[in-house]
Amino acid sequence: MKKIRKISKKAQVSSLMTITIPRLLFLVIVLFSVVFLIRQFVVSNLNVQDVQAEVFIDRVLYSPNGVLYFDSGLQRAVPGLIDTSKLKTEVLDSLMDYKNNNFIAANITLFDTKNNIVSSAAYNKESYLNWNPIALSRLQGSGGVKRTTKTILVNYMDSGLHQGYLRFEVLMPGN
Amino acid sequence: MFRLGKKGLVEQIQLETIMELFLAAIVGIALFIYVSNVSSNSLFEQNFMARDLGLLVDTIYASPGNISYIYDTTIAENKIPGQEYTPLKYFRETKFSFLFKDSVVNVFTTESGLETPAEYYFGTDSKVKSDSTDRLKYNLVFDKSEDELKIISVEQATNDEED
Repeated sequence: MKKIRKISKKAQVSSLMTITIPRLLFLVIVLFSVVFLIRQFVVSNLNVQDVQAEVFIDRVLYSPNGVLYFDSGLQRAVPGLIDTSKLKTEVLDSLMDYKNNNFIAANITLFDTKNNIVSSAAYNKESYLNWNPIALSRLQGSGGVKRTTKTILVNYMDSGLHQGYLRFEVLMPGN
Repeated sequence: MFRLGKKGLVEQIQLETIMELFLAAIVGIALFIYVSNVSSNSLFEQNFMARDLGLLVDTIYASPGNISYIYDTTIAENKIPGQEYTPLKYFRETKFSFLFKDSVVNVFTTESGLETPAEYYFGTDSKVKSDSTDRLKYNLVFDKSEDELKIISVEQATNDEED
């Protein structure tokens, strides 16, 4: 039979504290572990910057009010055929108005097959010039700028039909 | 504290055990409440829909021709898109409402009487007329022609058809 010892008052208090403090500590550790696990598995971040950049590029390439060559005889814009006279900052700024200069910026450059620059235009030029050095630093997250680059083979009208490359550099500040 | 006999010690152990169980129950209930709050939180759905709608409007502006598209808001209620046909005259009650204004799409929900909108930007085209909308509920219809983009609810589209 287990012997039950009688202990003094002071010993009772100190033994109680000795037992209770580790128990409370363990309880707190378990609580925080459960909360941490739940937060790990609950998705709360939605990053659509890559998709937004792709949609931006597609909008420039396919929108009839953008840089596409408009055939007045057919009364339609021809996808894949760029009108160099429309590759201007004013045309791009009127094509997409986000009413927020801190959302997206881009630089679009048209090269010929010999890598010479035929034409160039910027969307949200002021922000592009401000963000470009930050994008070069490749800082990620809040305070950084994400750069998306895409080069597409296109045809362009410039005193005749030519083949070339359209390079997009899209900048979006980090969330 | 006092010196206990054998019976007193047994009683003390019992009381301590009950107290510990009570503390554990409090912690367990607190955790359940936290998990319940996390699971019922609709902020993620609002943010998702705001981004989805913003990108959708950008994509519709990018189309070279006319386009009409019905956006099924029942996705927010864990329905898998494409597996349930939603005819134009049928719409479900949805807990979200939508506002398109000044190049911003706002997704509202009214929980606990507080408005908690999520917002995302879309780019308007100066050559395509697009008016701000009222608060829209139910499924949305995006109708783009050469020079105008209309965003209306399915209910409005149904009434227009009947007229």
